[in-house]
Amino acid sequence: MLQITDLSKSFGNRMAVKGVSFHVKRGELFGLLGPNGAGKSTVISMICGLLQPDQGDVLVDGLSVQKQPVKVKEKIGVVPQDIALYGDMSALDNLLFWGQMYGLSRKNALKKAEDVLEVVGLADRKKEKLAGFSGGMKRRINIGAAIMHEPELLIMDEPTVGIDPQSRNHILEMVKSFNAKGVTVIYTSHYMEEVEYLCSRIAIMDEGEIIALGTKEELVSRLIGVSSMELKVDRVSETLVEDIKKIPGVTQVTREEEGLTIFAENPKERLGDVVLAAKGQGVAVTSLEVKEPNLETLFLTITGRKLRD
Amino acid sequence: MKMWLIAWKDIRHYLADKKTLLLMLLMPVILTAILGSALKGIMNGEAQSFPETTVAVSNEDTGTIGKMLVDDVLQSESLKEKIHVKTASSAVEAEKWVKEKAADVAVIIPARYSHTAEEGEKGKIRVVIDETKSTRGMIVESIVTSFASRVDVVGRTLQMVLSDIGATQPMSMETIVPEVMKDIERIANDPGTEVTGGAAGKKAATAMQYYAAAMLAMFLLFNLIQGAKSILDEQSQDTLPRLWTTPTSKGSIILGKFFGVLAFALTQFLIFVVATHYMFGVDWGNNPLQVAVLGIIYSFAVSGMSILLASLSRREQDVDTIGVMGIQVMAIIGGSMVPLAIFPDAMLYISKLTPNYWALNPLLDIMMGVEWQALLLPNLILFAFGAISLVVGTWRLRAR
Repeated sequence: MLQITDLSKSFGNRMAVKGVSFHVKRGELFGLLGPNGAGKSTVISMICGLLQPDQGDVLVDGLSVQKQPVKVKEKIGVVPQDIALYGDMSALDNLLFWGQMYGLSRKNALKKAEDVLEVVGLADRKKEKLAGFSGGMKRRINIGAAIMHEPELLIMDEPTVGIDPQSRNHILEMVKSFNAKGVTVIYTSHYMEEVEYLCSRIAIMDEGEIIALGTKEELVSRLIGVSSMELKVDRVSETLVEDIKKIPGVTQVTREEEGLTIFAENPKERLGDVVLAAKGQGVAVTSLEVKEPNLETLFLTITGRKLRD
Repeated sequence: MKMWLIAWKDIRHYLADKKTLLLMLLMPVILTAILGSALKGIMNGEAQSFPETTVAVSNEDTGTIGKMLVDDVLQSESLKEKIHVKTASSAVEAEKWVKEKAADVAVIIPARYSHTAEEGEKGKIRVVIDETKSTRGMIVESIVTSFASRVDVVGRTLQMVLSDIGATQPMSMETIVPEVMKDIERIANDPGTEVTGGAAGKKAATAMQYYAAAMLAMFLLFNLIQGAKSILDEQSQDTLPRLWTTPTSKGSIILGKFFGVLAFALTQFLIFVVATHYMFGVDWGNNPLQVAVLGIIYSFAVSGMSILLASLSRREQDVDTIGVMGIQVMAIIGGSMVPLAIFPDAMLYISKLTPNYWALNPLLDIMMGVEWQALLLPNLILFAFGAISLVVGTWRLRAR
């Protein structure tokens, strides 16, 4: 459905995307995970035809975004990161407008808008102006506007930023149901839990590059035997870090605000050594917890930073 | 199809905004009515005769408006034989001449008078009269008052509309509108005074006709800001990038925005002409088709220029800066604040660079009964203003 080859984009001297390549199969729910500023939105903008790549190409269903932009755009539905709707128009009028911008006749748009309002759970408020809606409700209409023309590929750029948990859950369930109906979805987020929950295959981006790509299982399997411990102490010293690094089986130690994250083979067996090392440095341990490997751990292992840093 | 959809969305947006309707549709009609009736007789060529008068003038203003009062009003063709201007080096000297009977009247124009008038603030011109020659003094005083009032009201209204459309500063319609209306009423109660001669043609334009054409030319210019801000507003609200992601060419999207402004400008033009004709009896000439063609082409010009203005601006504040300043200059030198007839030749030359000049002059010509041939050049120039602005603006926005 989507083939991205050697995509690069610079803004002035800063290279925002560096030779990114990946593909998304038809019907797949593909996650693009990375911290803010990783280059996810730039990649999305190039897929949508909003930005011209400096190098590389994007093919949607075999059509080049650069050579046949209008045909490609007919196949894509875009949910932008920011709410891009008209506040002085009603929810229904917004959906009608965007549906017709994708080529629907007014009659078809009206019929489709009624369906979409049901899907997003706002049918009873369709005649109200958007300016009076909550952030979560606007986000739902923002998604509704992108599915009016029944796109083959739905691109969702951080669709849950800044909303309440209830609306967030509603949106996540909506995404699952779109995909269940055969829509290919690209979902970008810096929320690891969302991507883990929704996506079958995931690319992790950092500083303009893809640093890991695969199914959730494939990615986590890279951490087999390497779990982590989260150590919280009253103070962190460089000598404590050095002492913990010397413990057999410890592979990596990263400093956090209130303590350390320690990667080790069979961490449960190293708990005693870690506590002894802390005691040896005169440091009081406030908590010590073993964490199961996940995408956050993987990102931390590769970059030495947390996803939300 | 999609182009019309965007245009229709924008028209609905403009028409739903009460503030826009008040400023763009109602204000020019009210202003024309008051200015036209208050200053009736000014341009009708009915100059009253009055005795020869010596006027001592102290002009401390370094701007154009003070100079205009002296050179183009007090020493205009119709008055220079009656009024002899003696230039004083200071206000004290001018007053001294009146006391010593060396002058009948002293007119004292304060420093920065032009600046305060352009800012929409009140500038005070002082008139000192020799009590033994009160008739002469009153005539000169009313000439000066009439000129100052016109500059004052148009300047204040222009400022009010610009500051609200430009939204460079918060303002309350509830407080400012009554204040301007009070000023306008004051002028309406002033007796009309002869200042300048009428325009050339088969018949002279009345004050009401002149100000109807002048206000129409000026208020249509506000579409420049309205249109440009509409595009930049969509950009800041992220709806413009979203429009780019739809299967619609950038050219169609920009044309949709252009046609939205054009439709509103045409509505404004039509409502103004019909309202002033039926409410105040403004005679727009014997050829409605000529008025309609000029209206369409002038609306086309301001709409095209709004696209160019949007392309030259990155943020709405840029539109405020460029647009507000541009419209102020165009309103002053294009003949909307003071009649073109009193402009010196050099100013008339500069006036020709403004689109409102090319709308105002032919509108006055149409009122006077002009042939189609005489409208060819202004129509072509206005079309060129619009077409060039639209092409350059579209090209710049597409490349953005």
